[in-house]
Amino acid sequence: MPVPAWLLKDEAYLPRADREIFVDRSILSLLAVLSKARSHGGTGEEGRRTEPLVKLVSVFVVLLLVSLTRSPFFLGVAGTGLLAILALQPAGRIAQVLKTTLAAGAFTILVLLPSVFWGRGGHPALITVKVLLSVASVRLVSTTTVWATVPGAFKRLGVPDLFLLVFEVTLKYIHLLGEFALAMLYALKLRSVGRNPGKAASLSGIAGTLFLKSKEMAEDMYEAMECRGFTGEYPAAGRPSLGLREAALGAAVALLAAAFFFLGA
Amino acid sequence: MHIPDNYLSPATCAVLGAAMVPVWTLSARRVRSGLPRAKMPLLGIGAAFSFLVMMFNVPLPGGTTGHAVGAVLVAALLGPWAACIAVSVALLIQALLFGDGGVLAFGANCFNMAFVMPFLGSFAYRFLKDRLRGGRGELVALGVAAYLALDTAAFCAAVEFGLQPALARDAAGLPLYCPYPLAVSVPAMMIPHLLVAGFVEVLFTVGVFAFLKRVSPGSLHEGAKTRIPAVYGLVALLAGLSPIGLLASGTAWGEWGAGEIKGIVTAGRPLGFVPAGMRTGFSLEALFPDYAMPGLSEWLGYVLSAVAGVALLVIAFKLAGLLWKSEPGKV
Amino acid sequence: MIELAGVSCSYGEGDVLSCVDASIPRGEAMAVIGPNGCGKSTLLKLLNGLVLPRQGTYRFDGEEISAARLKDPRFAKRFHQRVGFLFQNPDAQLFCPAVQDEIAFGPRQMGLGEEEVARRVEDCLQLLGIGKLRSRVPYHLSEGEKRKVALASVLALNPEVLVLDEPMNGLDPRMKRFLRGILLSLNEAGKTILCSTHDFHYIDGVFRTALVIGEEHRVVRIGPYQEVIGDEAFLRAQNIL
Repeated sequence: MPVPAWLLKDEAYLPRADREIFVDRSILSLLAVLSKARSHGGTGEEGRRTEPLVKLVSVFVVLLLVSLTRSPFFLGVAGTGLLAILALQPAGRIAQVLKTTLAAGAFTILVLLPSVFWGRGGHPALITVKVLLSVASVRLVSTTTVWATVPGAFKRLGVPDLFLLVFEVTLKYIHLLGEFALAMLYALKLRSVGRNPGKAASLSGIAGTLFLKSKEMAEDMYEAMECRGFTGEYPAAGRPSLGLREAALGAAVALLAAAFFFLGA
Repeated sequence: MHIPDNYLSPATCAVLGAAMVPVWTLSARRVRSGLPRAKMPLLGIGAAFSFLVMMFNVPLPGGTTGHAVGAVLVAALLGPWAACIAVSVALLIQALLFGDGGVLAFGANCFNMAFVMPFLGSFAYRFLKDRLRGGRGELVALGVAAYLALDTAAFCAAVEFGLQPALARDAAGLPLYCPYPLAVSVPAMMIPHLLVAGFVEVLFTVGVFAFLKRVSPGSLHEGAKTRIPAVYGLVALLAGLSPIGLLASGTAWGEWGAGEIKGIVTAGRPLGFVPAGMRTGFSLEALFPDYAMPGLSEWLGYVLSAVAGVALLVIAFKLAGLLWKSEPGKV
Repeated sequence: MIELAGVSCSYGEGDVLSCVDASIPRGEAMAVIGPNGCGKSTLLKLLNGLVLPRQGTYRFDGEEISAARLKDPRFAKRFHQRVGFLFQNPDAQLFCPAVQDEIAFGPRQMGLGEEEVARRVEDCLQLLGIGKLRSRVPYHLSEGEKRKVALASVLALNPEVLVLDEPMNGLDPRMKRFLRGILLSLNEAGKTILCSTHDFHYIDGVFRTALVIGEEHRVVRIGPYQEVIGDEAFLRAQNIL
């Protein structure tokens, strides 16, 4: 078939000013998620790390103590400890932790501000500091732990295999599906050359196709697992390595707990 | 609607977490018996899908955009039991690894978004679908169910927030966590959800479902076809919402030193908020009314400040190094 | 028409594309070749404005394509209409419930009347030989059919430049020959074609120029296509052959 006439000449097209905010915002969210997922505590090549189980238990204890405490002095102790650990991290990791922490802090201030003016507010400063410490602790753990080792740690805590398997698969596929979703959003962006009256329909198409892709990948994965003799069990990760670092972290947390009780909740 | 840490008292988090344990156990059992191991990859990938859905920005007619939770959609696609697990895992990963949402509050968030939302949504959808004939009716039923489920989940969150001032107070009667009582938290949460977020959820849920129904009807969950007698659903709902009732009734035992506190509160402004020491200017006591200084604290305070100071300097230098290295206009 | 001056791109640590200089005139048919991971895809994304240079400038038809410029929705839309992109993964490009909707998506946005839109859809369907697929669901089509639909939906915008990322991947020989024919016709019709590929067997005669990116993410050679492809020693050294 010969090339049709309209393809032979340039388009004299002047677009109207319609915005596709939702595409740009979705792209930004996905990029943020994917970049966090990409630098997920490294690939384990940086030598031995602190045992994830110890870190998870520690962070839970810290979160609990921070949440329960009413003593700003205790928060000062906890905060100092956290700063010390943070100072030992590489610069990039510090930036990652601080980014999320400060955002959470700012958000908290915003939310609690009305209560300050209103007069019956409780302890907005206390809560804000708690939020900063909590988010920083969690982020610290998540940026220093190889994410793939987390299910193994949970197994030692007695979580059933089904959840562990799901968790592991989810991690992997957030990455794969996320990249696919991002590609779709970029494709939509490139073809958004004018006014799209069916913006929601376009997003539905993307999300729907994403779901179909998920199903397809799930079936492929199931077949691959069957071929490799999968039995529905999550492999036990062997004995947890408990060395100097773990002892140090354990001691630090124990000291913190002591401080908590000493300074009075 | 993701509740961060330190807005809910640990007791509240524990209650809601405990309430979720039977739900998770039952979901796991139901899912395992439904289909053999083939289901497992779908759960994981469904959780990844669920996670990513929360990242999408949904456009409403008129220009506003918002985020959908997607729990009702996932329930319509995979069934409510699988949806419970998928959304729970998505929330866990969000909280623990991405730092989005509370870790202690994980139980509460799952209660709202992985239990109330998918189950209520699923029930309402099936209930209405049987009573509204036709293909169009199916979509309307889903839309109504999504709206109802999202707003109920938001209401649960509002109640969880609003009960905090009554549940957890310090000696002066001031709230330790979320300071806004029900009279504030309920309208503050419900108005934006009823007016905007609810419609975002409806638009997204119905849009994707309609697309899939047209493009790949076989991918929709089969369980959606059974009729449910209304009574069962109501009973299940009431049973499910009982932890909220437990929290509400907690106001009775949460009133430590009730008589004393009542006296102070009814006499006017709570005394603890403006102590006498504030007359001399801004002081720590004013910010933290319960501040009690043990004798040992002075030198400990110095040591801590020194450590904190050094740590801050190190952090500052490292960050400066980072900024120095990166050039402007980097991709 | 396309001017790249000292363009470097990076995603974080290290450049994925380094100091690229190129001048591509209107009507050119250029192949972008290089080993895996050299930055071909990044270059193509750059040309479409999806990725911005860390250093250097990208000029399209005399105008610099920068973040600031692309913030203007009118400019961005016109730019995207003039430069069409065919992604490596056709699945990522299709999100409408039917093929004809997919192809009509672009022209509808441009505000063309329903008649004109229908004409374009029909023409594209016929041009790519997918008339019988018009009501089918794009997701369920075969790999080759999906690529045709994706190409049709990009052509419907009537872009001046067509950028293709490894379009031959996963196609059977007949499809590859068909694609070759289409690219030839489009280039003859005046479209500028930029294509990344490592499949040299089926694209003979399509390209006039070749741009070679090396493992160091730099442009190591720009020259007449036949010459570059014929230089086996060079291609071997670059890990392309």
